[in-house]
Amino acid sequence: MSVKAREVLGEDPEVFFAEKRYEFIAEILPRVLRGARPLTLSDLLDRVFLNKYLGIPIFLAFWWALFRFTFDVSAPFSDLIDMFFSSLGEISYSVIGDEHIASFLAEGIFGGLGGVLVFLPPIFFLFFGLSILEDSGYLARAAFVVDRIMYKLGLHGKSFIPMLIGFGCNIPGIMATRTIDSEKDRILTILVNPLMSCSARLPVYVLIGGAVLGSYAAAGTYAMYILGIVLAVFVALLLRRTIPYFKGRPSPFILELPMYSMPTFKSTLIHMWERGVLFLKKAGTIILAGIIVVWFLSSHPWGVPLEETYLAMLGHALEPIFRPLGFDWRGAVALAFGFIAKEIVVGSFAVMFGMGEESEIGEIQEVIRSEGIFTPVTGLAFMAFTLIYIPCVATLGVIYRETNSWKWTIFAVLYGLVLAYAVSLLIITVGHGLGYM
Amino acid sequence: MEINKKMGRYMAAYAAIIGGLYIIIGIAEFSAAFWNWFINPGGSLSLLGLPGDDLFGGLAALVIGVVFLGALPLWRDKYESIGFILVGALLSVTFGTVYLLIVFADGIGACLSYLSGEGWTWEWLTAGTLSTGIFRPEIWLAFLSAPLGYVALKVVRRS
Amino acid sequence: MIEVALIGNPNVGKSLLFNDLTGGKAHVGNWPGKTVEKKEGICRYKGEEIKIVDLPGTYSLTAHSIDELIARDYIVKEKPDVVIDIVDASNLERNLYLTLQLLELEANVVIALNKYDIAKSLGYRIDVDELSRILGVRVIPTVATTKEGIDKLLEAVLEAAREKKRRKVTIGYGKAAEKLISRVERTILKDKDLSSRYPTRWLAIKILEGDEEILKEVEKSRFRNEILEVIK
Repeated sequence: MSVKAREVLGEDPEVFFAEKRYEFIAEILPRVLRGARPLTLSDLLDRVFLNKYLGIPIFLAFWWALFRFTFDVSAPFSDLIDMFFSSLGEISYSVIGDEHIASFLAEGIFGGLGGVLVFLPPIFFLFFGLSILEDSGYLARAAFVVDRIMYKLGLHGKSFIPMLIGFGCNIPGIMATRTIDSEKDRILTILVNPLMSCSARLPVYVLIGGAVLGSYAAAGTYAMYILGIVLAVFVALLLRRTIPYFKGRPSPFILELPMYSMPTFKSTLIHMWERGVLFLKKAGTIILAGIIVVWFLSSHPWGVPLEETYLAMLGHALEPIFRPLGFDWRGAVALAFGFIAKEIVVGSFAVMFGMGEESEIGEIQEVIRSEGIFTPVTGLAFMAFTLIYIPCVATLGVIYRETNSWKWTIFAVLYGLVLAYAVSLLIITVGHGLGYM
Repeated sequence: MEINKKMGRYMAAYAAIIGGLYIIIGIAEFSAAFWNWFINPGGSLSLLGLPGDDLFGGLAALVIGVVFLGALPLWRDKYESIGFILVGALLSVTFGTVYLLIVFADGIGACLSYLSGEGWTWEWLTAGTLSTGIFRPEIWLAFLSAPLGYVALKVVRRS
Repeated sequence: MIEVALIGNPNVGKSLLFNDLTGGKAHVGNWPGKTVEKKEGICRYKGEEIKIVDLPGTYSLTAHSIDELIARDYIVKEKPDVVIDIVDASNLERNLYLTLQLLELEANVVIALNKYDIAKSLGYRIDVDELSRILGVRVIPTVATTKEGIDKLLEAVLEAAREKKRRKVTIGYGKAAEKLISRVERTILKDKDLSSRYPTRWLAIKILEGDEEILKEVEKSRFRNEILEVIK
């Protein structure tokens, strides 16, 4: 980057020249263009949505409404699906004589399907809301307003929508980066996307946070989301400074502001469906497979107590790595399964405590508390680890597809692990240092 | 492009009142939640009977209030500010709708519990996820903002 | 044969104008080595054969995206006789940014002021002569949907192609910046190869901006240390 030039010009030369050009245009425009047109509805709305001070708060307000809509309104539907598959499981046991097969059906197949489909309502609700924001034309304004800040944080303004989607599920989020022209900015956004806490990680926060953080549980969960965002910025800036490939500012952002239009119910449903089905196809199959694997490892060798299953062997093998962080073999196993799909983490805890896959969260939390599996500090560290460590297999698959390079995919895995370990360790040391358990 | 002065003043006054209400609600909700989460964790402070666990809901209400206040220049005939009423009403109705849907969702959840053997309560209507159920003020304020927004839209469309 | 390139922001009606000019017959391929589509067509006007190349729609000519690079490279390397810059009359401010960059590239620009009907219906009144005077290029109002102005556009293109001397428009960047630009220009002129391939002022500005592709080119020059001394 031009250093001497920057001193002389007073700012980044690319920005300087661009600004001068716009100044020139602003000067000649009044000489060339006559006749102000009457303020249209679009102008009036833009004045508010693009307002220097209110623009971002307004966007945050809409985002919050979207979140509430996504999680709170979809909740009973998720519960319904949960209940449905649990009963299917119970029926299998009563109808089928062979316990082995019944278990495979109940915990493996139905448990698996239930585990995947229970995420469908929040994802569909999220995409429904997102489609409304997008089709109405508002999202383009929000991206414009957010760009100012994102540019300073080393991120391209167009990465804002993929990151927003990433809060629902990283897979469509990463696919949405196709709108970013600059390859550098695009790859950076892809690498950073998994730090957006996807909806599958939420149950882990709820489980652990609720179990050991007591009244701070809600705060702890929000903290994870904010931690994700902070780390995303940090990693983006870090990568820009250190890796030669990423050196340089994000490319300038010029987004066409589409006309405002009233989204139709039909088109919104279509968009919601397209994106939701994508998740179903990509993630669904892998999650289902993952759950079956969990079932297998946790119930074989058949008939043996939990401590002697393949699952336990796996856990004990991994335990040493995680001991400095205060996670025991069960935490290690949960994390290992979280690699397959974050949705499985909670279920795997249930299985390891000898409870059915569909146990009540409250019961699992009781066990965690009473057996001291996590303390407030280690629990927090575990939540952070879950947030950061590696994207699930399905996401990795998409990363590979979108970057077309093993190099970046492996990098995504490595930096995730390293960062996760570092942050968790930090939480542990600071926590213990401050005298907390 | 012309709205007569009287209409401008009415709209500005109406917006000021709604804006003020939102700001009060916002501050109350935010402060209570802030207190309950960070200053006295586990506490159950509740200001003005409003929920004490919705930090971001409070902030959102605050933002809506400020947006409505942005329409005050209408008092002095500044037509451009009418956009603030439109956006304020949009935000207001959005939150009102979402909160209302949450109450319904709680209702469905209550039905599910009932069907799986638990007793029936009306807790979902009066408390539930929103802490104050259907009495959450943002829902009612939305009904008050909607007409204002509608009128403003008519004014804009006419010109 | 006269070579004409078509350029403009996305959504300004470039495809429509391309069809108006070529009668809809286009030869479609890819830009060499890229997956971006390349459209070419022929137009015959007053006995002249005009080859029209459709460049990708872009907002500017930086090195940040493939589309921009393709457009820029074509203009710099192939040096078309005329570049028709399609400007959306209802969106003058944003469209003129690309125009300024084309002028800086010293392309032989003719502006097609398209969507002129929409601009008028929105209440705009554009002083076409004044715009032409300020920018030093021909400006022809067009309405691609009704083919209004196409003949005048082709007339202007022929005139521009035949012109020997062209008035160049430069925007001043302020005293400090101009001093820097001159300094870099002087070092560029030492390299006969570089200065013959690129307009020197444009090259100097790109170097100062830190344009990646240009810097790669300059790295190959014997004089690279001198040229880049300003920015190190």
